[in-house]
Amino acid sequence: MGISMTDSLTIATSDLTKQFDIIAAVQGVNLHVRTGEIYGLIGPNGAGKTTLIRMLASAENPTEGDICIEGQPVLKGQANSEIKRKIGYLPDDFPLYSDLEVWTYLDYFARLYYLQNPTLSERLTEVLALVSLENKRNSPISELSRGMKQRLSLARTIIHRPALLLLDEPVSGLDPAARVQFRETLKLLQREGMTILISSHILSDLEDFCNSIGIMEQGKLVESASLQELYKRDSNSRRVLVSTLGDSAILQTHLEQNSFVQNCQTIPHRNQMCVEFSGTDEALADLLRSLITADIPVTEFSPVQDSLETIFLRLGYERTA
Amino acid sequence: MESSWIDTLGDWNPQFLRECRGRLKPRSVLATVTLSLLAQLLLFLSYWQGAQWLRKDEIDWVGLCNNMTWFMSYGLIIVGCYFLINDITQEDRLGTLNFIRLSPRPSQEILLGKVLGVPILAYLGIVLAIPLHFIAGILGQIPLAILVSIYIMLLAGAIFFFSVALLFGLLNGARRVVGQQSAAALAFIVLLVSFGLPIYMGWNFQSVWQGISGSQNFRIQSTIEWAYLPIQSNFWLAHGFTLLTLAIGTIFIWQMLLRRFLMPRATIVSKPMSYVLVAYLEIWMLGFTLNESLSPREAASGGTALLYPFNLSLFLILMFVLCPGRQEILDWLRFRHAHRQEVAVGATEVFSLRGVWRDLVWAEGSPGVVAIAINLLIANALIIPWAFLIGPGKEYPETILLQIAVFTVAILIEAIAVQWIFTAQIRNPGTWAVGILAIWLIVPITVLNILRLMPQNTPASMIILTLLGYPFVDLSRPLTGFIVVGLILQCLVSIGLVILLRRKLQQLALSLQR
Repeated sequence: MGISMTDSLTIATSDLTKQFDIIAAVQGVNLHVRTGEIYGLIGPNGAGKTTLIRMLASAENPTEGDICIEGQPVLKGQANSEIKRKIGYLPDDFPLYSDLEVWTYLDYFARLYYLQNPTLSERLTEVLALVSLENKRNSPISELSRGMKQRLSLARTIIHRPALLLLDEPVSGLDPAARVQFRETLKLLQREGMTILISSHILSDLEDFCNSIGIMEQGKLVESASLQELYKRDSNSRRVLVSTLGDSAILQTHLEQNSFVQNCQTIPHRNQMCVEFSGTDEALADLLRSLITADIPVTEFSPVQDSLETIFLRLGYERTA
Repeated sequence: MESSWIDTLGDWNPQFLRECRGRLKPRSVLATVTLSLLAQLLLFLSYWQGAQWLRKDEIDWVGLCNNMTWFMSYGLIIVGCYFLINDITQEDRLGTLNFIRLSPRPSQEILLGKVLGVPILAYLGIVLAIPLHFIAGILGQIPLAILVSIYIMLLAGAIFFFSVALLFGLLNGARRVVGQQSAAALAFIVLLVSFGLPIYMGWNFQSVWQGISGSQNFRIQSTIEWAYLPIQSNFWLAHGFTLLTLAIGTIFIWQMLLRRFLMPRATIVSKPMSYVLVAYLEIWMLGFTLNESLSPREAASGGTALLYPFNLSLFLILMFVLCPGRQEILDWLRFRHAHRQEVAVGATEVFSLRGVWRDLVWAEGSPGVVAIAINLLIANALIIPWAFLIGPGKEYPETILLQIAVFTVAILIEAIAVQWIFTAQIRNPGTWAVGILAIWLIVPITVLNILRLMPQNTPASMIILTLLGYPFVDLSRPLTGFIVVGLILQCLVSIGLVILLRRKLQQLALSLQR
C-alpha cells in the first residue's frame, strides 16, 4: 500500500497472528493505518476481521506478532493504560447496562477514562448532541430503540476523545436513515482528527467515507490500498455511457471502428450504449469529437465509475456479504 | 454541594459510583430498609414475648445480641456473595466486563468498586441493624470490646468472602462451570452455608470471643493453639491470628483476581505463586498440631487426621488451578518453537532441554505437572520433619514414609491425568476431569466395599487401595509387602501417563509446524 516514511501511522502491526487451537484466525497481518484516515476492513464472514479488531483493541492477546498504536508498542500481559486511553472500541453487539440512565452511563465511562468536572459535563453534553440523544439524557437505557442504543454505544466509545476508533460492523441492523446519520457522524469525527478503522459488509457506505480499504480472506490481509489507488488500478479499461437521439445501430457501428473500444453493449429500450474503453483521456476526447463530426446526435457521453463491489469482484476476491 | 461529593466519589472510584447509582434506586432502598427494620422488630418481639412467658422483668439481651450476631453475619455475607457472583457472571456473559477491562483504570480499583458497591443494599440493611445489636449488647452487659470485635470480624470476614465470591463469579463467567448466573450464585451459597460460614463463625465463637471476660454464653471448653501460641486464651493473639490469616488469604485471592481479570484465559494461579501458596498453607495447617495441651499421641493422630484431607483437597484444587488448557498449551508450544528457531543454529540440545525444564517450573502456559511435583516436594519437605518430630513417624517410620510416597505418587497420577484431559480436544474438559477423578476415587473403593474385599479380611486388596492412594487406616498392621507392590504399580501407571502426555504434546507441536 504505498506508505511513505513521512506518513505518521496510528496503527502498525507486524506479522500479527491469532491462532485458535490449530486454526489461524488471523495470519501474519501487516496492517498500516495512517493518522487521520478512515480505513475500511472488508471480507467474508469468518475472514478474521473481528479477531483483528479485538487484538487492536487489546481485547484479545495475539499469538504472535506486534502491535504499535501511535508508535507505542502494546506489551503482552501488561495493563497498557496509556494505549487504552487512546483507543475507543465498539464491538458488533454493543452490550449496555439496562439499570442506568443515558447520562449516568456516559458519566460512568467518562470517569473510567479520568474525565473530571467541569470538562466531564461539557463533554457529555457535546457527545449527546453529536449522536442526537440530547432529549434522552435522563431516559433509562432499557427504554431506548436499537438505533438509539447503537448511537449511545458510539457516544460511549468516543467519550474520551480517542485517537483511534475501532468499529466492528457498527451499521449492521440499522435502518437506512440511521445509516445515513451514522455516516455523517463518522465524517465529523474524522474532521475532529480521529483515525477510524471500521469493518462492514455494506461497501456502498465504505465507499462514501473511507480513505483506504483492506480486504481480509482466510485470516490474511490480501489487499490494503487507498480508495483512489484501487480505482486507478481498475482504470486500464473504463466504461463510458453514450446516448443518442438517432439510430443506436449507427452509433454502435461508429463506436466499434475506434481501436480503443473493447466492448460495446446496447442498453435495451434506451438509445444508449455502454462502452468499455481502454485509451487515454485524449483518446476519449478524440472519440467524442469523431462522433460529433460524423453527425451523430449525442445527448450523453459520460465515463462511469465502477462501484467498490464491482471492483472487488473483478479483482477476484470473494463476495463480501 | 451534592454534585461535589458525587464528583469526589466518582473521581476516586467510578466503579463504586456506578454500582451505587445502579442499585440505590428509591424502591430498592425502601424495600431494604423495610426488610431490615421488620426483621429486627420480629426478633425483638420474639424476645419480648419470651420474657413475658417466662414472667421475667427483663428481656434476654445477651441472647438477642448473640442471635443478631449470627443473623447479621449470615445475612451480610450470603446476600453480598450472591449479589457479587450474579453481577460479575452477568457482566462477563453480556460482554460489558470487557469494556471495563479495556478502560485505563487499574484492575484493583475496578474490583474494589465492585466489592464495595455491588453489595451496597446488604451493607445498608446491616448498618440499620447495628443500633439494636449494640443496645442489646450494652444492656446485656457484653463488654464493649467484644461488640467492637464482632464488627471488626464481620467486616474482615465480609471482605474475605466477598473476594472469594468475586473470584468464583469471574471464573464461572469465563468457564461456564455452572450454567445460569443465579444457579452459580446459589451453588456458591450452598458451599458457603455448608462449610465457609460455619467454620468462620465457629472459629470466632470458639477462639476470638472466647477469652473475653463476661462472655460466658460464648465459652466452649477446648484449647486451640498455633505453634504453641495460646491463641484461644489470649484476646490479642486470637484477633491478631484471625485477622492476619484473613488478610493473607485475601491477598492471595486478590492476586488471583487481578491475574484473571487482566488475563481471563490464564491459569488461576501462576507457578511461582503456587509454590508460595502451598508452603504458606502447609505451615499454617501444621501450626495447629503444635499444641502443648495435647498428648504426643493426640498430636500425632489429630495431625494426621487433619493433614490427609487437607492435603488431598489442596492438591485436587491445585491441579485444576495450575494445569493450563489446550489453547494455552498450544500457545506455549508455538512460542517454544518460534524461540528455538530464533536462538537457532548454535543452540545445543542441552540448552533447549534446560529451557524446557525452566519453562515447566516457571513459565506461563507450560504443562502444570512438574509444578505440581514441586509443590508436593515443598509440602513433603514440611510434612516429613513434622511426621518424625511430632507425628506418627516416631512410632512407625517406614509406614509413614510409605504413606507419604503413596500419597505423592497418587497425586502425581491424578495431576498428569488432569493435564492430559485439559490438553485433549474435548468440550468442557473441566467437567471431564472432575468426572474421571470422581470415578477413580469413588467407584473402586465402593465396589471393594460391596464385595467385602477390604484389608481386614483380604490383605491383597491393599494393593488396589495403595494404587488409588488411599490412606492406611491401621498403621500398626501395615501390610508392607502389598503396599510396596501397590507403590510399584502406581509408579508404572504414572510413567505410562507421562509417556502418553509427552506423545500428546509432541503431536500438538507437530500439528503446529504443519
